[in-house]
Amino acid sequence: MIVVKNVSKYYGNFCALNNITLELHNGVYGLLAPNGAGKTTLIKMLATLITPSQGEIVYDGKNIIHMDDEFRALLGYLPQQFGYYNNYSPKQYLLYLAALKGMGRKDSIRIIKELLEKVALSEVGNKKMKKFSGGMIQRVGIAQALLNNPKVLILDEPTAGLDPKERARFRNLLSELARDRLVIVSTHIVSDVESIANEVIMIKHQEVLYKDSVENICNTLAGHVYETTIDYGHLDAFRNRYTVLLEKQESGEMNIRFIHKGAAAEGWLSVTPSLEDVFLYEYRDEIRMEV
Amino acid sequence: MNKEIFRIPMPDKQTIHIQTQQIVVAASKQKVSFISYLKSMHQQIGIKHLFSDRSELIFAWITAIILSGLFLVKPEPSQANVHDMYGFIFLISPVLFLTLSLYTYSNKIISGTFEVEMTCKYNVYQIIAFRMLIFSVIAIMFNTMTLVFMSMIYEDVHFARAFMISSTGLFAFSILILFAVMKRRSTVAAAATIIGWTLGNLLLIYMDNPIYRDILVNLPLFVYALVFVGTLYGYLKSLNRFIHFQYAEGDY
Ligand SMILES: Nc1ncnc2c1ncn2[C@@H]1O[C@H](COP(=O)(O)OP(=O)(O)OP(=O)(O)O)[C@@H](O)[C@H]1O
Ligand SMILES: [Mg+2]
Repeated sequence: MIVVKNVSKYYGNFCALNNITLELHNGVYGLLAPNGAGKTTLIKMLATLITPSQGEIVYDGKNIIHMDDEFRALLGYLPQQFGYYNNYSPKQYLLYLAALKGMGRKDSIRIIKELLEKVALSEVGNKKMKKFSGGMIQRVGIAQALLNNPKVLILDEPTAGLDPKERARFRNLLSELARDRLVIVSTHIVSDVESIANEVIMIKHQEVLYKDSVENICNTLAGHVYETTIDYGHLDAFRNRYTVLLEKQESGEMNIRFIHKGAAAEGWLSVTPSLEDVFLYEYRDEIRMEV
Repeated sequence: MNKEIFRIPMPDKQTIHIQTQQIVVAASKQKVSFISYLKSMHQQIGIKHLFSDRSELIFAWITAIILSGLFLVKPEPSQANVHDMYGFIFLISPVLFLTLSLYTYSNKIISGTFEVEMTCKYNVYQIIAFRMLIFSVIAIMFNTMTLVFMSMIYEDVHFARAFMISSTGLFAFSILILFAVMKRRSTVAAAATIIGWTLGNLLLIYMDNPIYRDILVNLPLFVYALVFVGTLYGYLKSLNRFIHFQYAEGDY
């Protein structure tokens, strides 16, 4: 179990995260927030790449910084920018990293073979990585994070650059992995975590906004999300009055999904809120909602 | 938890060996000496991965050859001042070693593998500390070879003195640069140390200060030997500290 205790992070005078407190158990946590919210900052602190300016992070009661290599031995980490040596093949690179993780060679070879299958790269295992597409490199990154069968798996935007098929494969892999470990996945793509996260953590104004199940987070908007159809000409007026989540043009009219916290008007259809609705609503000031 | 253990496939011999050793190391965490730490690192990672990049080694050889060339070709034998020669030996001896270590570090930053490697059990600093030790041995061997040639070409250059000057230079410089990296935690500090070292030494050589000249040429050998042992000790100590070093702000 990881506990983040009153952690703040400053870059010079700039406060990137303020007084974050979280308790994380086994399972998948989706760290969901828009660009620049501080996801990577939190993740780097969890991976001991940077230290908190205030507060501490403990694993089973021990400060992860003091645990030093003992904590790193439990850790699997995929950075947002996954780097590689141009002239290495995935097998060579993974063997190298396995060695740095203190794994025996025979074990490494067996595990690497399994992992390359899991991320569908078996056929190119010996090809130089400089010839790889972005998605393929990202999959090497995912495999790399799993090498030491980590108890704590931290992935910073792992689905960036993956096609829908690989995204789905990745989601299945994650929920399979999460049974006996702690998985933290940062993303700004709602569908990546909606179906697999046991809990979603949302950060707003440098603080934790929600840390709850998808269902509970969605319920915060229960009864406030509607859909209706309006004339194209009324669109601007409508946008000014309500928080519009989605606009779709349909045979000259506009199909609109929006939020209203008050009595409903006629012709409005009350709908069940989705995680995307909450995301768009909570970050409406940060996100420019242009169609 | 206990039930799960029986489903884990039997680890291979090397893993068992490594893990037994890790348990021993963990049990005696305080007492692990620098040398035994390096030993277990060598055993677990292997030389092949510790010196993973072949281009690095080629780069090293080229640097080494150019340097030896510089040493041998530079001044005309008849006109060379022996104290200038010693001064240059002191100045240049860490260069090979420096290029080897900096290359490793910047290569990891440039390829973007730094972060991933930093979160491995053996992180970048531990690898670099290990390599620095090996590289310093290589650098000393090269310096020694060059000095043997020099003392044959220039009658006034005495091998024993030149050897101690060059090794002291190497260790003193390493202590400085490790200190800069660990205290100031930035590449700027490292660069400043390198520039400071070079300018400072050049200044000393060109000012032609009699005291400096005296230290180089006339200081008794046993005093040099003392300084040499002192810097060697300091060097090993800072390497040991570097192994357990963690950087704080993320602005590497
Ligand atoms: N090394 C740094 N120095 C100064 N400011 C930084 C540094 N790293 C991040 N920041 C700032 O901290 C804030 C949070 O950045 P962070 O990278 O954690 O966001 P993020 O949620 O990961 O965003 P993205 O979705 O774009 O990856 C940003 O405003 C960023 O400009
Ligand atoms: Mg980020």
